[in-house]
Amino acid sequence: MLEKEGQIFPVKDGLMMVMSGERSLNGSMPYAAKNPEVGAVFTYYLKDKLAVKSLKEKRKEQESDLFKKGEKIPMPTPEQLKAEETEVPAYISFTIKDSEGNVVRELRKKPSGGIQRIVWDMRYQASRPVSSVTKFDVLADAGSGIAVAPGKYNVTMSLVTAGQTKVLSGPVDFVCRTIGSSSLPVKDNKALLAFHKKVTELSTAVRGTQTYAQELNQRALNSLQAINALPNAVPELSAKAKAILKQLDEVLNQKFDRKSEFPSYEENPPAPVTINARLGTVSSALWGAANEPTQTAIDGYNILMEEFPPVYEQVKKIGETDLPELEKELNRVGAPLTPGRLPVFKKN
Amino acid sequence: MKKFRSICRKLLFATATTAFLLLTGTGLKAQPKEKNKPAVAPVKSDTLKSSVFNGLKCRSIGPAVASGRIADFAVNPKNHSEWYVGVASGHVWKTTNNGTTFEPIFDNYGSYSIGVVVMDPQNSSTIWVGTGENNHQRALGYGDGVYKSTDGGKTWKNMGLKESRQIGGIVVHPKNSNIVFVAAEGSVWGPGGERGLYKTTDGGKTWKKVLEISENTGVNNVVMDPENSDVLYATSEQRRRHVHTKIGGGPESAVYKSIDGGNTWDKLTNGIPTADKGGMGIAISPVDPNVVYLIIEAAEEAGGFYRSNDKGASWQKMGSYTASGQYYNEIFCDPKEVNKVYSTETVSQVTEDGGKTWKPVGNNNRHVDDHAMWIDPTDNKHFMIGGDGGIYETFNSGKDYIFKSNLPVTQFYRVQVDNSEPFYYVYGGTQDNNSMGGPSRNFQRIGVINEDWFDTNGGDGFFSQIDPNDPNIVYAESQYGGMVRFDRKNGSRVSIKPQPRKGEDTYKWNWNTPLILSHHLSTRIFCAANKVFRSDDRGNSWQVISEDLTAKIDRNTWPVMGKYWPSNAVAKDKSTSLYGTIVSLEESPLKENLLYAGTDDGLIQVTEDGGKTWFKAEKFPGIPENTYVSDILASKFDENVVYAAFDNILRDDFKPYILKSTDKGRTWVSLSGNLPANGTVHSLQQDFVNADLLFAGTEFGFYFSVDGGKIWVALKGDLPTIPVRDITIQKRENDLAIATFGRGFYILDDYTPLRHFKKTCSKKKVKSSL
Repeated sequence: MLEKEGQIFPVKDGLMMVMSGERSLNGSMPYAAKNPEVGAVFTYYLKDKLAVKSLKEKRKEQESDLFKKGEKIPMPTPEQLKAEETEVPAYISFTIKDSEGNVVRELRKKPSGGIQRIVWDMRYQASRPVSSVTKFDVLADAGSGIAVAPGKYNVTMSLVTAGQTKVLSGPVDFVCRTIGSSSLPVKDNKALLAFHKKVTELSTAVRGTQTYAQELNQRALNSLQAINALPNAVPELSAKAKAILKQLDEVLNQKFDRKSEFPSYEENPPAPVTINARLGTVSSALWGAANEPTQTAIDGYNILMEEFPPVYEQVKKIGETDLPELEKELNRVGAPLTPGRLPVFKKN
Repeated sequence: MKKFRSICRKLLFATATTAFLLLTGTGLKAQPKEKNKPAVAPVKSDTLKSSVFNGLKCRSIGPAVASGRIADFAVNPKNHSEWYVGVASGHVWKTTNNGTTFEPIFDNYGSYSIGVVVMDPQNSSTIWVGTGENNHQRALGYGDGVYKSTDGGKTWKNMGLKESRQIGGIVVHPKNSNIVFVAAEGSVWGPGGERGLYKTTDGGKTWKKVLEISENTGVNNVVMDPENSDVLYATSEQRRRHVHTKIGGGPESAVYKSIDGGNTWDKLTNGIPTADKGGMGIAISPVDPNVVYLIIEAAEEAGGFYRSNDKGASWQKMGSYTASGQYYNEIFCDPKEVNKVYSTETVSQVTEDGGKTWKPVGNNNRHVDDHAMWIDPTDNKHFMIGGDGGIYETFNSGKDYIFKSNLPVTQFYRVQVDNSEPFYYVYGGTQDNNSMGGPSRNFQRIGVINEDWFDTNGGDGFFSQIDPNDPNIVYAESQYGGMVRFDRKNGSRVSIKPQPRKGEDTYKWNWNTPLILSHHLSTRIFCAANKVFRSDDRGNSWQVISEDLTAKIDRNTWPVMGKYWPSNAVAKDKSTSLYGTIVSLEESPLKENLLYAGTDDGLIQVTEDGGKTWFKAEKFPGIPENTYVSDILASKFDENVVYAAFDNILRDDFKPYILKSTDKGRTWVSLSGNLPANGTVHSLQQDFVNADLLFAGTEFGFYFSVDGGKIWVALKGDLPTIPVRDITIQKRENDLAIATFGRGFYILDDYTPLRHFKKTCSKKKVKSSL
């Protein structure tokens, strides 16, 4: 065993259960002993000091060696330093697949020797929007999404260095199963999962479209202000910008969401249901995976599948046609710069 | 008939004897000869006296796991282990061991709702209680003035101001115990009454109104300068709440100061915003009494936190931080640091720079929504904080807390029971403390404990229903119709709230949404917003079985405080339900498609075909138009008979309204009979064996009638003065389960003796003693 580079030990069944939040307001005095973490627990062994030295470590070792020997030490070139800076560190990857071979989740860890444990919460990898990244981090966790269906899974442990993946152990099979029988058991786990996947996809599309529309709104507002800064008024361009803003206002503040001045959303007078409000009621079902979706949730999904596409198309048209055309016009008339617009530049 | 009356006599006597045995605690050991010599007065066989039934004890099953809304503390300055706590909807409790144990000391007076508890600075045995919690949130109790105890809370005397409804503050003069100031807020539901700042110089025998604002505006704070008792500050608060609207402030809210011992008052304006103001809080720093702090809710975003360094002569806005005036805006100065002030609110805040910046006090394992605070003057890291989830004590400035888990003061809106074996479970929803369930009894000698209880849904809670055939399937609500199906087997919840169909507008859900389970199909449930919904598959899918059944009245129809208020009035219509919602729902246990829906705007709608057609009843004898329908009860014996109760509290009308119809709601007669004039009816119930045995829960207690509602008798056995918001029957055990609004659940074990008091017992001579 100790000769091997790495080994995953047999995995106990992952127990899928509903955890309650009782007694969370009874102060700090009540004694509570900790439960084990809920999930599929992977116990693994890694050989101490796997061959995963970074370029910088290698250079430092070399430098130290040469220094001891009293030999000349080469100075790192700017290219070398850049390479060190941008080098992706080696990591251990746990790839979890379902019985059909689809990857459902990948967990990553810094390699370090000895016996260790990592817990998979039996959820899919989330697909959350990525923005405002300042530094690339290969170990950043994508987070957890919807719960997987009970069933057979396997996990493979690999070492990833400089883009090279080397399988250390696995695949090791294991089972995720529900514990705590339900009064109304799920009849069709596959259908449940399929619904959850559909809702997740829709949710991603809705969220992405809304964010995109917010960015378009900012661009259109910038454009309107830039047109206003022109010494010669261009009323037709202003009108175009305003028309785009009006559309986006309707999309953002009526279709997606509606502003509420009240402490509770339910204190607002009757009005059409917004996309996000309906999506919220549909996707709230996703986290309580112990139950089949209600017909109300399925109906809500179907309504969204009718109501969201026209909004999507409207935003798409603004983003791909209307606004770029307006911005082209802005360039043509020499309006001040706005973010996202490449200035017109002609070589003399 | 004679023979029958004789049986009644015997039964009455037996009950009286039982009462005696229970009261004296002799129980089975009672000697036979004692039967003939009861210590209580002999009961006349033809008199249905309430005292006759005292032997039928209502048994509290708590729980104390969530405690309830705390209004105020009064701590003995010479012995910090001795203190009193005023519970917003659950009386006054005393501890002499710093909360290790509490004793209820105000259970059977005229009020359950408490705003203020104050200890005489010169005498720790003299306690003043201001009744009626001092805010104007939706779940609000009212009081009957101020009470005084001179024996450390053993006995209490009402000292007047009975029409003040809510008491905002009490100040006892530090050198002269006969001088007391009372800030009377006055009713939030109507004009008039006793409203303003009152002063007594004879210990409460007589009162003089020393600051009067108007019939709509009272005084919500009074504080006295600790270095000069002639200097006092007060704030007035204009506000109004009705079923249809809420106005959170107005031009009459202001800040006042007196420099002559409260005889004359000047309005302070220098630096105080001129915009309409809502609820304000004021506090004088005990470290430097020149420093006065003021927290203001105001229109036009003029609210904020203000400081005066010159005893109120001028004010500086420290920042825009403020809280909700209708529920919070209470501030507490630190006893040691002049710049440190606490503001109790949803997430309570503390400033250490006189109000410029604020940070959370800390909610580590602690409920939010705070109202009361006591800071140890000898160690300011040690304080108690009280809110919607009870009392917490910290010794490290709010990092960690001890929860006082022994104060059973939960406000339950509704109660329901299941058919669990061997002991049935009791479920209900609470004001701000989730929906929960727990056993009616257990196998432990100690009794039903906090650990027996579990949450079924979060937030505020209302109706719960349990599948009669499967006690693991529980339906539980949160506010505005948020409902889940909870699985007691594995603790999972699935949201089942009805959602608008394609193209349909959002529904109007009441805060307290009715949710009932069918008598005819155990998987069928009904609920209602402005429309009625039916589900035959445990909430998986819903059918809309009515259009909007309400009166559809614009909430801005009527003037409020003599005016029509603009949309930007202080907190207008915030934290209140939309107007025009269904608030009670009933299905005939006899006829499958016979349903009743009662609205917040005074209608009872009846369908006999499962919702295809509805008959609208809108005029009810003796009941003002548009009165909130608090409960509907379809008879268990005659499909034509239906009872209804109405709640007009929010128009300052506290009369009991019970009606009966024998033609499915077409015509109605009053059944309010001899119910006390002050005591709104919240709930009705009927025995399932004896059609004439009715039960009613009112704002102040629990009543039954053995003659179909002609004569009502109070059943007081161990039940404090408390709103009985709901009553249900566990048929297998013949038990009554009662939801109180502030003292948890009570059970009347085996109420079958009441079935034997036939109406023949209470003929002409009957004068019920309530």
